[in-house]
Amino acid sequence: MMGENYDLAIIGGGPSGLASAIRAWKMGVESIVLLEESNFLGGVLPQCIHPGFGLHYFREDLTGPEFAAKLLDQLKSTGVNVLSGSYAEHLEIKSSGEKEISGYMYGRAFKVKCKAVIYAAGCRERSRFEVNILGDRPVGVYTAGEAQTLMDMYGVLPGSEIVVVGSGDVGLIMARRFALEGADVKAVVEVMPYPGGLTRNIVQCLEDFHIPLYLSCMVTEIKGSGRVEGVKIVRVDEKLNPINGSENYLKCNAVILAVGLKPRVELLAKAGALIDEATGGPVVNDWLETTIPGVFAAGNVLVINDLVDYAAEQGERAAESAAKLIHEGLPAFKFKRVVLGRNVRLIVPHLISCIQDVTFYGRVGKPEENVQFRFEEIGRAFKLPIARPSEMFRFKISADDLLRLRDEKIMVNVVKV
Amino acid sequence: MSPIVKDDRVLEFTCIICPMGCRLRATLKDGKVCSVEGNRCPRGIVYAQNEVEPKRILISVVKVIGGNLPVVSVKTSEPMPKEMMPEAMKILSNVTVQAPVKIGQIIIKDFLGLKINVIATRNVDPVQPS
Repeated sequence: MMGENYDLAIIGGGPSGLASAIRAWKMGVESIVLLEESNFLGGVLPQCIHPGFGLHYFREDLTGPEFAAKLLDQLKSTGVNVLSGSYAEHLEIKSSGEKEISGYMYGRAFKVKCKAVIYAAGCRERSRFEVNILGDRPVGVYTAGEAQTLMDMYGVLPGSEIVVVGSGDVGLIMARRFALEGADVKAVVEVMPYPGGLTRNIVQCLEDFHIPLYLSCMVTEIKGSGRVEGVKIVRVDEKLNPINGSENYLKCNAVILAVGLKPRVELLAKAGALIDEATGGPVVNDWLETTIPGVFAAGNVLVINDLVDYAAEQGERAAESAAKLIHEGLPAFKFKRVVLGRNVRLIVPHLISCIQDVTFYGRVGKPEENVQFRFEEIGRAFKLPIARPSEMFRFKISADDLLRLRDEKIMVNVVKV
Repeated sequence: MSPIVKDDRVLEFTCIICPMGCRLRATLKDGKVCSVEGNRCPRGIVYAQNEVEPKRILISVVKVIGGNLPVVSVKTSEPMPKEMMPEAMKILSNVTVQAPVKIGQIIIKDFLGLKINVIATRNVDPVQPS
């Protein structure tokens, strides 16, 4: 398998990688390789056994493993060559424009050559050290994903008295799982004055199980020799600085970190792709093509999505672009810039050609009620009764509307109405 | 089922149908919802009616013998009464199934007499005899 040639290589076998492989095959790309570093497909889906997946993509309420199984069923009827256990480490662009991916497969080096790449390597969880939780390093400190794998793949409860750090949807859903399995969830600790997750998850995860939520609080230290014995919690002021004398000690034997996700862009960045500080992912145009021609990005490596449905949708979009590139080439363009306006923290794509429909995904900076999302230069606006940072916005704008754009840029503003 | 009693309470809760999270105020008459306030859309009324006897899909894992994984993820085929969850979890913690398990396979039929099933949500393959 040394130096095998393909039309398309997809890096990552999670929902966006799988959706892109299936879509590319349907679009007539016949020589596809899918590189997956672990020995199973589906990415994070197999460990997410709660419902709520697929309402948009499959128009069905599914659990994670069920969503993955549906994609794998579709993959079976394609001729996509799946190489599991293969870790892609380097991407090199030859002067001919050909791409070469090299890495390791079960301890042996491999190389794959291709015309186009879809990078769908997903994201990783942030660690305790990225949120300044100091102290001991005992057994019983897990990221939410690690705890989920332990519990829902291997049937091992990570502790009996648990403190969850972070009140995003991941933290809330995990708190409920622990409580359901009989653990005493001591608290969910959130540094912001408002919860990070959706109201519905506050209700059905915390209120349903009488789990306390400590807002404006921070875990500063983990204590324990051998096993976790407790955590130090401190209240913070409006500027998120610890308040003197507000320190408290909470006894527990496990600490679960649900403190955010980061796109895994290392391979792309090393290959020279421009990275957006706001999303943490690559800068892309409306083909979802990175600043390296012929290299596309989709899913959580592009932007941290709320819904697996969006990740899969981006996978399909990237596949359509890659198929077009392989079959007829992508037209050359002077792209126009998408500019972050008032209360818009991030948005993708960053560059648009204005010749095709574009689906924009993004997040606001702070919660606001009764707002309008204005695409000023083309006179398009979308009303939303509420906009929260925890909820991704998604707007589709037609090529007809974008054709009206005369400026070199388009600014997106969130304004109160 | 509880007998019909004179229940004219006013209940307050947050609608979780969509991300809006409307604060609902439901007035009961003889245990039935007769009016709902605070909802921004009609789904809030349906939610309030269901919330008087709240129901949720229950998910968990049950033990597997001879599989490539030690447990299999399961869910109830329909939402079940919230207050029966602790009892349901106790039952599930004592269930063991034999590999192979197929996605969609019924693990427990007519769970707790609720006319709903507990079904597997993933495949667990048997471990190959070495």
